[in-house]
Amino acid sequence: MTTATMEVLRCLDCGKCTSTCPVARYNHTLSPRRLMRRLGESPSASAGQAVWACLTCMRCDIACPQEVPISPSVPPLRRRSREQGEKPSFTRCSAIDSVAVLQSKADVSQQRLDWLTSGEDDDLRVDPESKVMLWTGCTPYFDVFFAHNDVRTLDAVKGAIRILNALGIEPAVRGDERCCGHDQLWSGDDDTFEKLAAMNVKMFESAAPELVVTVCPECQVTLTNEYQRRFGQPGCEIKHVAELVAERKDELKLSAQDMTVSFEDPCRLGRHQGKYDEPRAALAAVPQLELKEMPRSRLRATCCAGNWLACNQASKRIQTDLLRAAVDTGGEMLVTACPKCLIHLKCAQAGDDEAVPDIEIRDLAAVVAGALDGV
Amino acid sequence: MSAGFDPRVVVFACNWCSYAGADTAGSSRIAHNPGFRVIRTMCSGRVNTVHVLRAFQMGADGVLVSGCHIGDCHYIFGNHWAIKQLDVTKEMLRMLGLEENRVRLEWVSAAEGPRWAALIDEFVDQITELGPSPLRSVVNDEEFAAQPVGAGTEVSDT
Repeated sequence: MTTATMEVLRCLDCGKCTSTCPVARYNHTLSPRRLMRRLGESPSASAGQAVWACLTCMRCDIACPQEVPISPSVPPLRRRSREQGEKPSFTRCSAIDSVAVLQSKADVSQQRLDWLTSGEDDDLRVDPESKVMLWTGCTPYFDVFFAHNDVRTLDAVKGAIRILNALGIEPAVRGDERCCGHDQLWSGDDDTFEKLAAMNVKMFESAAPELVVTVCPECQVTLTNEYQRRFGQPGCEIKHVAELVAERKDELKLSAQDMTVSFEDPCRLGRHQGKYDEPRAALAAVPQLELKEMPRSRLRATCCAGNWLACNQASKRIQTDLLRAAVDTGGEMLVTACPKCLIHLKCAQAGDDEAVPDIEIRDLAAVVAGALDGV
Repeated sequence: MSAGFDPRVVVFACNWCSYAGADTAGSSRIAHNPGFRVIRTMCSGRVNTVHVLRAFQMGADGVLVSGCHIGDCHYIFGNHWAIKQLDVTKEMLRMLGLEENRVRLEWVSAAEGPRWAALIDEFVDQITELGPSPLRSVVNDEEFAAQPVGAGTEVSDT
């Protein structure tokens, strides 16, 4: 019996997990309580289709009085489902999953830096020899694939480069970077994750960075919790750009931005890593930018409901609720710190559905960089 | 290309024009290269990025998407949608380091049997010329043969 299964036996069947689960509210096939009970009673039983609907956002883990690791139990369940031949209902967006699998092939030589070399943003200064590495993640692919929804996650990457430049750092941006494998890890596709990790670890070994900066909390949590713990690479700090801004805000010359915004805590930054203050401090560094908190924030923040494996009407309802809450704060813009949140929330806004508020959504790094003097 | 290279060409053909065009080529007994596998879809617009990426993920060397001529789509605008989607797909594959002429979009009507045969011959030759896809590295021939093509399958590694 695995440790996770042992811990499931602590479950009191109180149902707090299911009552706080954002998915269970609209999609009754998923019940973390039922999932845990089944796992406790018969550890090898199939979890059924419900297992793909989980967002692993850790909302239930926070609510659990017995500290049962509910979200961490999901990837092993998914792995078992895969072994038993049960598949998630892959959506159109599972093309992103295919991109990761294709990147795991050794012979791939990617062309992922066109946005940098095209000369469109000639103020961006990078240095291949730099010991500060800017991790771009899958953002170049996102912007191509989600262009129809006007998704510009590269704005966050460019923003991060401008922030680093303003701090006197010219980061290294690498073309041989591969997907960190976060989604594969959490969806039980360990095979692909191991391959991606092995190649990235090799790259870190030769580059030997002294600091890695990410714009994506998923990359950050994967590099920190998996790469470093298991492979010892990268052997340096891995910071989300919000942390960097929060730490070194005094060195940044930021001009006043007269706007009111609300902030959505990405689950991988917030509940997975406990980083709630850093993005708020980063926003507070911008003069006259007022932050209005949504009723559900920090520990209780609503998830963006992003899940390539089982996106459906329930996802859209969760996203609509979140966008409505953002509008209700009186803020004119919703700021997030995760490219995936941006993608999923923009997707909810696509189409003519009047029920979904048309509030502007931007990434934190792009907002801060927009306030930089002389940019 | 090296002798003995047998390219794996996946052809998505729409039900109303191209698939019938392939049928016309067959019933007219026009000899053409048999080195391709057809997957029938209801419309070329149904073939989105994930289908093409998965074909390469499963070890294809080339993908041809074929639909009705512009203006002839059974669903009025499905082939316009196909153009848009395949543009995105091609860009994604270019970023993954794939040669752009491994993917092609063509229009073949139900009456164009000879054109279908010529197109297949030309495309299979083109893929043979290009050699194995750089994305198929880990799929060997037995594994590929064991895959149920077009069954919406989820494939282990690959």
